[in-house]
Amino acid sequence: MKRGESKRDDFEKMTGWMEHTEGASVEELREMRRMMGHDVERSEREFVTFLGSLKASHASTDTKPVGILAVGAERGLSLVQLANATELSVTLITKLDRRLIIFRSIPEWVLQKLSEVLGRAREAVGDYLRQGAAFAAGAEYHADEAPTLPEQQDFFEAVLADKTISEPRRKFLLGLRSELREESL
Amino acid sequence: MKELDAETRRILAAITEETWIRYYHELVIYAQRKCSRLYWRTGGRECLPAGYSDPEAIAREAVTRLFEGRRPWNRERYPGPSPVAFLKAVIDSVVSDLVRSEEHKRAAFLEDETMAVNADGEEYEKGIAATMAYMAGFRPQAPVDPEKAAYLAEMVERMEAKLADRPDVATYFQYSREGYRPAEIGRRMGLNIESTYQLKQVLVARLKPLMQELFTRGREKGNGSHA
Repeated sequence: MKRGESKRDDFEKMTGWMEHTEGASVEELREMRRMMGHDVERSEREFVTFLGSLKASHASTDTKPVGILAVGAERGLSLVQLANATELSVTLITKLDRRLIIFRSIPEWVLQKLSEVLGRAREAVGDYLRQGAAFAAGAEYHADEAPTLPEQQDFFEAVLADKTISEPRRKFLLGLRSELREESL
Repeated sequence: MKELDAETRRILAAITEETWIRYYHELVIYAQRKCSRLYWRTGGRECLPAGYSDPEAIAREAVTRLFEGRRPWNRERYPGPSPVAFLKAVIDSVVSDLVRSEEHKRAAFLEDETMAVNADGEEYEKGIAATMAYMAGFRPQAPVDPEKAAYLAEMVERMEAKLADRPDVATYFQYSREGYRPAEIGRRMGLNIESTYQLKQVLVARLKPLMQELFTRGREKGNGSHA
């Protein structure tokens, strides 16, 4: 007799085979629920609706697109601290914040790291970085002609051109070149 | 709504709708079994925590608590990409509220006295020495509804009769009643995974009508309703 068996009552013993559902297929699980008298089809439909609204309400507070520097500041991180925490550089972080980097060239590792450090969903970070380039916050222009934005740059070109980044960090980031995100295709 | 940590967010974002449906079935089965068990162990009272219409509502509440960060997912205790084990603990917590309530003191008598529930609603094992003196050794017998006890005893006999011509399936059932997991049963019976799975399939098919009776009878008497 297995340890603890004596503490199990008749109901637990009879339904014990329902306990270990980890390896069961969806069809097996549906069958178990039908045995319990559940309307499985209705239940699934209702759950999908419920899940959709739960994700939507969650997204409204958590996945809204956000500025990288602004969220970093909200979390008490200076530009330098943010650069260190994300294992990038001040230059790269600033370029990312202004969306001066071509989105499809940004490695997944960088997106995940930003998501982790900023405490925002990876999708929210992606949504922000996908937007068009922006002027630097607080920049003022006094020339007669309208200012033009610099062209967006490939992430790895920006790493190579970065004069502020440490060599080990540059080497690590360049090593991410082989990584190709599905959404980049 | 509290902010989720990055790892939890990453994991939740990666779970597809199809996988969530699978998880949901697991959670509802777990919650239903808990509520039904309480029905059979108590005096025929409603065995759902206040505010919950059925076990599905309990499962949905667990998922909501996870998404809203009301119950942070303890990744050390519940590692891996599936939140099911953690969500089952949340369900335990919801159902424990019912067990601890005044109305269900009778059910509480039957709970394992070496198990306790912490502030997070998670069960932990405590030494018998830590239990109160009056509880150890001389606890009063838990009140049992004689009608229910007789029905359950008869049900065991009916299930065994259903398997009488298949000693291998009967052995599987015996091991499962003793709390062994399918893989352990297979090892004990010297079977490979495929053969163990087949035995379980036969078991389920044979017991299906009796299981339906067991669960729906409980519901008719106040065990959560599923229209």
